[in-house]
Amino acid sequence: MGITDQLLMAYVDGELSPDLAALILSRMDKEPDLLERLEQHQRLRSQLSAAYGPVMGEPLPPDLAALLAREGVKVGASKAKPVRAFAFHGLDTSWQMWAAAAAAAVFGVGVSQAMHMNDPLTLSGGRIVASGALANSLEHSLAADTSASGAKIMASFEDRSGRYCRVFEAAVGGHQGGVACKNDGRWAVVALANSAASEPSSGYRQAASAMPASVVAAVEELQPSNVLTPEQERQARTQQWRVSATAASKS
Amino acid sequence: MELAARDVTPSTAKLGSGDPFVRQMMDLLPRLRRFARALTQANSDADDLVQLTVEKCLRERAQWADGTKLDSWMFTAMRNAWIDETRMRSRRRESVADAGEAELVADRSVASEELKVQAMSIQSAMAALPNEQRVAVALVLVDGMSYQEAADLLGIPEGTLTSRLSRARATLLSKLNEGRHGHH
Repeated sequence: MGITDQLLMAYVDGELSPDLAALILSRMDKEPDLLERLEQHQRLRSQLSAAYGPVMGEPLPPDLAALLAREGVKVGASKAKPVRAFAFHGLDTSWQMWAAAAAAAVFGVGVSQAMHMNDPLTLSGGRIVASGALANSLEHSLAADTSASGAKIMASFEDRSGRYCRVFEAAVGGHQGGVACKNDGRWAVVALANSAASEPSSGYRQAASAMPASVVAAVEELQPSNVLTPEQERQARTQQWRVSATAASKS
Repeated sequence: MELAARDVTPSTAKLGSGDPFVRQMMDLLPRLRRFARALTQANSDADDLVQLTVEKCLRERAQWADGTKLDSWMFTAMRNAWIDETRMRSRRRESVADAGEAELVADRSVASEELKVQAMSIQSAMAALPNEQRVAVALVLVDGMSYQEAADLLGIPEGTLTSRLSRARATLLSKLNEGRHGHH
């Protein structure tokens, strides 16, 4: 039996267990029709975020600014600036990336091509691997980089087999959280889901709880043996996240 | 396991309100504004809805039980206010869509003409949805809530939510395809 629409939607909404999500991913390159249907649903999600997302960074309407000023929120002094201050940091990036993909998708360029040009994910040997800006962030960003554009790295760890894995939040097509592990020179995305929180969360607890349950479950399944300190992260980065190099240097 | 999350300074600290309730509300404001846009067809309706919701929640803050998530509480307030408004308008035989038609314009921060067309067709496709389906789309597809969060917020079983989402998606996709073929 094929993958039902219901299942596919749940996948796109980040609601599937890692097992079921993996099943869908494994069928993807065998069933071209499935990829097309998946793209259709992902495109709808992107179009919705693109249509409604920009308001998040817009200046407040004067009435609202006045109301909030009465509550002690300093919005009056210079009109545009304080409002900008709480605009979601990642929005600009996600917006630009989406805009390029959408323009390509709507006007002439085939959707599949658009996906390959702009999508942070590509299929490789039945696996979904990071590409483009996402791959770049996974390879080069540190968890401490809060101002980095593109994907934000939340944490890095070694899984039970010694591979390096990184939990990320990508500003792509809505805000997706995920886990990727470095495997054979590429970042294999082992879990991906839309995260509910769309504004900066403050501190450790909120950030952790904003991660979708499916991503947290995937992390647990990888059985992290060591969460990297910033120093270890930097070192792993210079070794291009190769297992043997740091495993040797540690003992 | 512990996720060593990056330390994000709450940006609202810069805004200077010492009131934690107001601070949390400010954090939610971008999401509330987006939710309002997704529910309504006219930007002026969305602004009014945000204003109404913020006023109401400030007024009734004593009723907010600390255990409930502020976002569920405020999103529920906004959703209820919008449902009331649309009922009132339909009683007055005034179509919500008609009222908004003149202002059915794409967001001004949408960069290119092509994307304006795109945002507009999303908005008109959304206008074709029954209210309850639009709410479901706004919560899950636009805000990114999980099925469970959205179903809890609406007080409906998850199965009801997913069937609304599925019907809504079918309508949206067919409207958007129609639009695309119309342009070429």
